[in-house]
Amino acid sequence: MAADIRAVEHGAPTSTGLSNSKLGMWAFLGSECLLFGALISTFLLYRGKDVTGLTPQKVYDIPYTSVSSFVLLMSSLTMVLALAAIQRGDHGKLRVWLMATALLGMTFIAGQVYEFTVFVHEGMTIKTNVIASSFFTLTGFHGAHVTGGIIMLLSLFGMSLDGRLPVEKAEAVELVGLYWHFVDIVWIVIFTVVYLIPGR
Amino acid sequence: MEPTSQSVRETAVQTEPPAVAEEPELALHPRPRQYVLVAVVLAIATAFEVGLYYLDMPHPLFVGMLLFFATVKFSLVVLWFMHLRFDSAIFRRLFVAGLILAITVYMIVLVIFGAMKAPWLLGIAAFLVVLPLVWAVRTRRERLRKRLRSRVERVAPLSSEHG
Repeated sequence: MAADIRAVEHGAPTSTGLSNSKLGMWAFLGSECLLFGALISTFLLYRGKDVTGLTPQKVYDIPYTSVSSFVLLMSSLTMVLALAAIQRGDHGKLRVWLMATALLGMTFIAGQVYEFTVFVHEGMTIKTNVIASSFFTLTGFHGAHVTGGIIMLLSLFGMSLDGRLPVEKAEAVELVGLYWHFVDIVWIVIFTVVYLIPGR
Repeated sequence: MEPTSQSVRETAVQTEPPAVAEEPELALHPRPRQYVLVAVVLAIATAFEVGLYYLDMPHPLFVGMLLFFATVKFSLVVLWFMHLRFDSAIFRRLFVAGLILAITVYMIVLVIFGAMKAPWLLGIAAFLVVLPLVWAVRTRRERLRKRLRSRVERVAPLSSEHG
């Protein structure tokens, strides 16, 4: 019923009665599961191999990565609060929460860059062995996704400042939010399967 | 009586945030306080995970507990923050299909290449088959119950008129 009303009122009825953009985003996220699934299983495949040189398990700093994980997890809260703010029509709060999410994302990326730098200084590079290669590829791809999310968040922030993000366009914030939460759930899996389980 | 689109819209405008007038299903979404509560649970689960890392316990138990906490965190974010619990079932199906496909394919790959033992695969595969089955049965039962209720509602006024 609700979907029908929206479809009719927006003058763009769809066969599902749902927003095409949101449907597209969910399909995209479903396909992203396959991408990250491939990267995670590649790491798991190589994890037990006998290799020369340093492996990630020997250089992990679990307390440091735990703080990074916590930061990313909390960015999901600020993201969903940004969505709630625009749905209420509170543009001031929307900008505060969007910026907070972007800053938390940047903190996470800065932490990852620092972690990579430490690993390289200790002698583990992407060329050291297959385990290191799969580790850097997986976490690097995730970092690239987070960076993409930060760019989207800052774009939304700019649009809001320009007054180009009215309540009617709340769906734009919802779509970026879906992407951001997805990046967060991927990290939940990576933190457990790639850091904590092999790290001990 | 079925409410008209106009009446639904007017009620939404009067009682809910502005965006609800555009998307009335948003009225089902949680309030900020509930989001904060979910975030607190997520933080506690993360603290437990990190705590487990430093505890001396058998490896299978350690792995099982970590996977349990990760599943809880994953589900909370997907169901509450991504609103999959409240939005259309089509979104849920799209995402779950991708997720199950990914888990199944990569579990098989891990077993074939010897990175995972076959009994683990069988256990997870059974879980992946049973879960959608239970879900399908529950959905079907709910649909039947709804149909029955609407039939009763249709018949009730008629019987009172004749009575």
